[in-house]
Amino acid sequence: MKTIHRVIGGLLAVAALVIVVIGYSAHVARSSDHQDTYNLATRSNTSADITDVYVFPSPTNPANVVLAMDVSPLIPTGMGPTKFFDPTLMWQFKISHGTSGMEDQVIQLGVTGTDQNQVITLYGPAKPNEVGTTNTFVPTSGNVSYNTSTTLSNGVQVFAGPRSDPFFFDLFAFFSFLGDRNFSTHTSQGDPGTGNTLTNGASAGAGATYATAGSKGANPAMPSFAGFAAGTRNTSAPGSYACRTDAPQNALAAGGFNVLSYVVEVPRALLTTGYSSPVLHIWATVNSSTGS
Amino acid sequence: MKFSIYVLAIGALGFGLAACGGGNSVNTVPVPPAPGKYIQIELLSRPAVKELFEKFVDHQITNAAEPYADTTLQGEIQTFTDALRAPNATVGSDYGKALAGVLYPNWITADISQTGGAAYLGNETGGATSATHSTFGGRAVTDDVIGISLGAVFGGTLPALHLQPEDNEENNCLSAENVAQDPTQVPTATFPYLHTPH
Repeated sequence: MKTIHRVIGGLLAVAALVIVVIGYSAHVARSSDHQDTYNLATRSNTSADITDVYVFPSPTNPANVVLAMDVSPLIPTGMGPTKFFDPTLMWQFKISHGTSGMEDQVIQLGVTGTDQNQVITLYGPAKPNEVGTTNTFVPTSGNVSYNTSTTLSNGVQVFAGPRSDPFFFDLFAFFSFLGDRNFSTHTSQGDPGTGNTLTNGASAGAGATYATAGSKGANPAMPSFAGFAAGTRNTSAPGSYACRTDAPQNALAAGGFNVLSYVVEVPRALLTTGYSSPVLHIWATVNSSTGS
Repeated sequence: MKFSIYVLAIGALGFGLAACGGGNSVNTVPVPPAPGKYIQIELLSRPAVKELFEKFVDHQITNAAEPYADTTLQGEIQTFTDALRAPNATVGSDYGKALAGVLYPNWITADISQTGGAAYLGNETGGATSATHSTFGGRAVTDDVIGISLGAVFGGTLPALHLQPEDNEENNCLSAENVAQDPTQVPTATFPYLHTPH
């Protein structure tokens, strides 16, 4: 039943994505850390795919800091509340204090349920049970409901649900000169693809010479982002080429794409008490109970 | 000391277009973990580091590694950059080595004893990336992380910060992307601070 639900959900999502994407562009926005590997991009539930991590002081309480992790790239407009977290996964903020060199504190999230009634459980902040890439859950701090903000008894405020994707980048221009980073140019997890070399990359710097000097129009393969003022050239050296002047695209905003977000606002004291340094080195991971 | 701090700062900028070789491509068959155990399949910290420097097929290696034990990413940052801005003994530049030094280990640094605002690489650069010179670091939702990264890899950020000598290998067409954050992407004033979905 769960499988059927996922398949149907996946088909609906894909169908909607196609409709939306066709509506604004001939391309699907496959970007940056969005759709990070073939396997992550092709999972039936893409909440294992982290798109961005943020760390900033709380705008509303100076005693707190905010950690945010966005997952599930490219959720089409209007479909945010129909996308849910994969209950077989563990999401973690891992923290290394000062010069410890490895994780010495973790904040973990796990999920039960598969629909709008999902319950998200926060574990920690606590010292990890294990250092390394195979992990178990630390003691829980409480539960929150999907798409609802809740403050737990330890003072940590938690949100887990759909949000607008705040990442801005002209992905299409990027892929025009580094096609390897476009997920759709690969056919399997092990497919090396063919577009890893930056087009004319070794000659892209100042002082480079090109077989055909002149404008971008005369050298369509020359790497360039879009949106430059007419007359802007890659360098001032003889033989330089003109940069693109067509309009750039903020692809994720233009496409109206959303993500699923975990946002945890944590009292600073919970991240410093018992540790020798207030300097945090932070990364986010997703772990799977199935190993894939 | 100051030099090392700045170098670290720039590394976080992480942008590169790699023509790199290197990289041990893998296609492993996952082994199911024991009950209650979860195996890492994805990792992200500094934005765009994997995407810019590392071959797509090698992302799975970084995703399964600790950010302080990932020689594949570390090596590809350097080789990718070297292909664009080769070490120049005449001027004494080595942008690849400098960027690899900054971007590795692959994590976001924040000094939460600081009361200033967040700014990507603000801690590593002694506040150079912050409009208010805050050394909190971290990453704000509004930070132009791509612009910072492009400036470091393709532009003149490193020589401007006196982290590397001028090598005259900037590319104006790649050192900026000319895209700003859309109003629907700007954070809100109240928790959870991320804009409601489209």
